[in-house]
Amino acid sequence: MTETTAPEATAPEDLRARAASALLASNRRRRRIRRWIAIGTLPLTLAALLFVGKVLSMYAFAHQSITAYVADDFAGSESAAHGQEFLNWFEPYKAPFNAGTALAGAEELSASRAKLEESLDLATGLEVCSVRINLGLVIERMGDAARADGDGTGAAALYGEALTVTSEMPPECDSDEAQEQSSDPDRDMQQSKEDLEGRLKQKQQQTPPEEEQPQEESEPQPSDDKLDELKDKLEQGTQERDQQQGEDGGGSGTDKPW
Amino acid sequence: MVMDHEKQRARYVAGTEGAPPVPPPGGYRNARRASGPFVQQPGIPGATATATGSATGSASGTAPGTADAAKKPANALGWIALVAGILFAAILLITLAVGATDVLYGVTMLTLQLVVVAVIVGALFTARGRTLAAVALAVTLIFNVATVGGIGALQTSASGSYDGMKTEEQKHEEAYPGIKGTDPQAALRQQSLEEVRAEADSVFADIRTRITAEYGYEWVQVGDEDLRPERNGYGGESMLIEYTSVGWATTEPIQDYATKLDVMATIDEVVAEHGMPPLYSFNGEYSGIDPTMIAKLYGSEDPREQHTWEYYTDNYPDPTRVYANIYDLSNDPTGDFRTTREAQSARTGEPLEGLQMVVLASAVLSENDRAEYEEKLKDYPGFQ
Repeated sequence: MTETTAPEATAPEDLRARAASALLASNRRRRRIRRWIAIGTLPLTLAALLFVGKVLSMYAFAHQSITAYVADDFAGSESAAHGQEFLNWFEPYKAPFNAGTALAGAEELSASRAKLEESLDLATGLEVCSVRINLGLVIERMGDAARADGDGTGAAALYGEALTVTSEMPPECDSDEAQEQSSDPDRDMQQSKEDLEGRLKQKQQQTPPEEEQPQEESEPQPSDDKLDELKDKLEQGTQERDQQQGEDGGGSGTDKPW
Repeated sequence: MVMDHEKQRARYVAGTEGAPPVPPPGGYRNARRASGPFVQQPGIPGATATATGSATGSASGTAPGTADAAKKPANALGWIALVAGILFAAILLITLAVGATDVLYGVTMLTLQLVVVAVIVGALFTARGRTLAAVALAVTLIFNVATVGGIGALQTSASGSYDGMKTEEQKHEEAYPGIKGTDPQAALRQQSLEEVRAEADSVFADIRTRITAEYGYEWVQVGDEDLRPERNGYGGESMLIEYTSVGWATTEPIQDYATKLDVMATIDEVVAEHGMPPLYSFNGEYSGIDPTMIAKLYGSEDPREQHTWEYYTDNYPDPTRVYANIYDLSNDPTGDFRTTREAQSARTGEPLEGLQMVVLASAVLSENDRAEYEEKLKDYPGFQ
């Protein structure tokens, strides 16, 4: 107020001082605004960075998991699959699916089954098709292992479970869209399912029954002689197949997942 | 109080000998649009000098700092950051173009990426390198190991060529012509593809003749022959083939229980004439399949009420497997099975119900491939 009452004496100095003060204050205000904008948008910035990082890491880990599996580095494949589990929000079934498939490659069948079952719980729509096929294959191989250990009953039960898993595949799995999403693009998914079911049915037949069941006259079943012949043949065939194919046969034996 | 302090400071600065001229009232034109602290210096030299403590040059009577800073060339670090960023982006894109996704995610690339980022960050902390470093940072944010690697991963996924990490030994194994875990000589000893095909044709012809003669059913061919390579268990395809014959189906339904039994008995006789054991019934009580599963797969535990009968035999150790199925839509109370059959019929043109036969054979070798198979096996001594 003093300056304004004596403008003539102090005008130039005051004007300069006032202008400098105003600019200083303005700059300070701008800096403050910028700082608060930075602080205010920090959570959003971090979230955006996290999102981008997560999405890009999904591709990286998935790629590494697959390439490691292809190169028979199952431990590396499983490790990369675990990398997918962090903030597993997008296509969550893939992390346990990849881990389960890697474990299957390493012949850790029980752990593999657990992971694939976890994957099945997380899968939706057509995603379940690949999961069910791999899960069926793993349980089939568990059955093969049980049979090789002489546990015919356990093997039959496992083949039955594998058959249940595959038979519950939705009809939509037999579609071009499902095939496009298949983890095994070199094979027709429906064909893989039918092959698996066919093998499981045969293997269940090859697993000798615990007790001979009495046969009712009216039932459309083979005669006793025929049954004995059939049973002998099955047991012989099973032994010969086991000897010939080993435990990890490809082709008509047990298919390899993925 | 704040205003007083600022006034005093402004007066002191304005009155100092050798100081640059004070700004006009309201400050220099466009002073408020300046983008950085150094550009703001000339607007309020004294104030900026106080605020930043770095305007000694401006206060020494030399030319205003804005012009100085704008004219000064960027430092070497800035240029290094920019060139490194662009060069690394170019390397990434070239690597992507040649499809080497594994290299993109490799340790070398990650290390290089970290070095580039370190240089850029270093340049950002230098006044004269900041602009170029910012450009380099923008380039790096767009083209880096993660983004270009992601594109590469998608590309590889689409093409399915995941063999970059395989060793030479693994690539050699991948070309194994046999199947892991099986005797490679077995494919040479057993029926060839041509023999299986001939066997299938012969069995089908005999069955058709007998069924037509005894029951009067007519036949229609279903689908085409299918030959699929078998995997070798080492990540590649073997030379052995999964054979699926053409199918044959009766044109009329078979719904009577006794007739079904008779038809299967007739087929049983024919396959026996071809040296095969009796047919097994997958859908029967003694199939070894859990009754619940039988009901799920075939519609009921009771064969009288089943919509599908599935019988099977083979000529093991030869690979021919004969399947004879009877589909009966009269045993489909829910209509679900009809829907399935209609979908199948739409795909293959086969009748909705009746008897159908097909032959499958796994891991068979064509006579035409025999010599090549034997030759290739020589490169795999001891392989099974």
